[in-house]
Amino acid sequence: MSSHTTLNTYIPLTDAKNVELDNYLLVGVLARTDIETGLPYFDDLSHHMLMVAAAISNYGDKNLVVSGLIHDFFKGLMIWKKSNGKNWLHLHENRGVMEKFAEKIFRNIDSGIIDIKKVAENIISHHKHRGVSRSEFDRNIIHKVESGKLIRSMELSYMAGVLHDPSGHLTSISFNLSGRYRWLLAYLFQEILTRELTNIYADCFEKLLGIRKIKYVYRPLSVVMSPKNEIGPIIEKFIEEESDRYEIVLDTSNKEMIIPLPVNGLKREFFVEYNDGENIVFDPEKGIHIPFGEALSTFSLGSANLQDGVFLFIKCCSRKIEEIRLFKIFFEYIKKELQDKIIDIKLEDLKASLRGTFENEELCTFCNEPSAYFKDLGNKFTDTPLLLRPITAICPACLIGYMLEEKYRVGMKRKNFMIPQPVIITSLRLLPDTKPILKGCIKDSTYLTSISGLFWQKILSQIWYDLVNSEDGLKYADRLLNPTYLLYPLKIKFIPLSIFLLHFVQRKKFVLESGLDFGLVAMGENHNLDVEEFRALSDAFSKLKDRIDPTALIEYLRAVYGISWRLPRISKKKRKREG
Amino acid sequence: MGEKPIEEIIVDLFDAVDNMIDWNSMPDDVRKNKYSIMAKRIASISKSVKSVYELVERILKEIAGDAIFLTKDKALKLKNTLEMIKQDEKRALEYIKGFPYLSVILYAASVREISEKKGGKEK
Repeated sequence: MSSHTTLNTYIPLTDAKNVELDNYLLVGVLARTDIETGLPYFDDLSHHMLMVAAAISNYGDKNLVVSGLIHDFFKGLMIWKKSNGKNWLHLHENRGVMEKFAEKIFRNIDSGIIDIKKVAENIISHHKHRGVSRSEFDRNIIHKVESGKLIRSMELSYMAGVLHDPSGHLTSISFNLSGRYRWLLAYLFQEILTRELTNIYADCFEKLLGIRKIKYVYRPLSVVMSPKNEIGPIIEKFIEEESDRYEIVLDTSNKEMIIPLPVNGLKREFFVEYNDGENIVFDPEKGIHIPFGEALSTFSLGSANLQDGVFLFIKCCSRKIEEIRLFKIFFEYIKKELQDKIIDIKLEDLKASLRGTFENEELCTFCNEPSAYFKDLGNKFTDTPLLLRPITAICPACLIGYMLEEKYRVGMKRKNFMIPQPVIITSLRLLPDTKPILKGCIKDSTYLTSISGLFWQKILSQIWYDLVNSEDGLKYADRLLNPTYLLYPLKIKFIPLSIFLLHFVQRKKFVLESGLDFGLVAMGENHNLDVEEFRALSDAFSKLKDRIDPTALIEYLRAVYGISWRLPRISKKKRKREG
Repeated sequence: MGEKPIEEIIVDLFDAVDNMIDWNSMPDDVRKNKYSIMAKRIASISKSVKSVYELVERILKEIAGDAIFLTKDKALKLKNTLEMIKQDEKRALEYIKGFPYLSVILYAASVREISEKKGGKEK
């Protein structure tokens, strides 16, 4: 730092009014921006720190993992320095002060469990500044992991080059996705493997820290930070006056770690918890629970070929997870679902077929990939002359997809099988109050959505559909009709999306349409609520607020458009009849 | 009244039309699915009509048939609504053609008939 920095070059977000959370479906805090362009990565602070900690677990050092879990602790203060490059200040440059900070927040944690000095050291040297030497910075593991391809690819969904991650912390499995049955299998693969991964991650955190839950609580500051302050005095003031409210709890009896994070400008708390549960559980008032497996893996379309999908996940605790083992788990699930009907399909064939490496001269009617089986399906389809032939060639993947579809169809009662997709972001803006302060530091242009990470976009679709179908949905009609995500300090409006893997019209099936129905928001008995219509709905809702009842609007959306999604529950009775 | 949002104009129009249909004289299953039926019919009718007047005429003919509940007040209300729409006719027709289901749902939500009912069943 050669140039003299005056107080005026610091930009604390302290003039902004407190932000109410009542209008937002989900609340989070922005994790990172691109240093050169100022474009925000579409990721939440807690998720970013969790990903870093999971990747760091491969070093087997619990102090490092704890450091990873809190390394950006002060980002929620939203203090920026305008210089040549934009600088989001979140560290005190004095080691003594950072140690004091660590002592305060870890004061009730046994020093035998966490070495406070080491944690403070790891945190202070993960960025380059006056208090850190070049070599210390270069050696810092958090910095190494953060600046590598791994975390960026998860946050930006930019897959090029990541499939052969040199750090070895990432595993990827690619799929050939030509044809809708393959999508069904890829979706199921992801569902099942995500559950498996959840246990692996939870075991890893338990081994290192004795916990299976990590709960981040975004907590408003109680004192007003003076706009005249630099980050240093603000952190010092925080340690003196606020740190009692931000004590980290490591409760090994409940296998839980609670990490409160200060957020300058929020009015009330909101939490994001990562745990060993099976499903995402969302409470619009309090927070969201996300299984580790969901948070630390992603399924993305490949960058080179749109027919390809990639399932990616972060490795943890140096555990080798063999691809074949994952396929075996998947195969076991399918066998259980289909009982004895799968007997003549081999695991190797299914794997090769899904990966696109299966070889044969005959091509599958559904996906045009090499096939291996011949079935008479003429009486099941109505939309394509191809299937009116007495014998249909099918590949292993589509055959299993077809059989699963038949199975689900029986128990579905004409419900539609939908999978949440990344939302469409219609607007991404700085909160009006923060705009004068943060303009130039964070860019709020909508074009950045083209590089947005998929994780939160999918979560947004998922919680929207979950909530709209729940009894509680009517309570939150306003938020559902004008869905907005507060990724503090950004306000993001979005349209939820799903795709349909299976579509039935009474006994006949129509599965051979040319492509997937991307862009569909909901599938009804009568009509699809598409993106344009959803936009019109939000627009109409805001104009007619005084005249229409939002709960009635949600009810009619359900009734007329029949919004529903996810795997059907199969009743035992129906299963018998099917068998 | 050019400043009135188009959505509101459409809600007024369907309100005037709906009031003329004697739903009580129709079978239970029709009444229960009233808005789905309206949406489906309006979606199909709106494709070919060239004016709002024609749209109203065909809705009444195809949904209500003989089950029209006509009073002087109701007829006047419909007439006034049609008069009011005249200058926004093109926009209104485009909206209904583009979003027939949504138009009906907006109207349905404005009536608030089912707000106390749970589960999205129509009444």
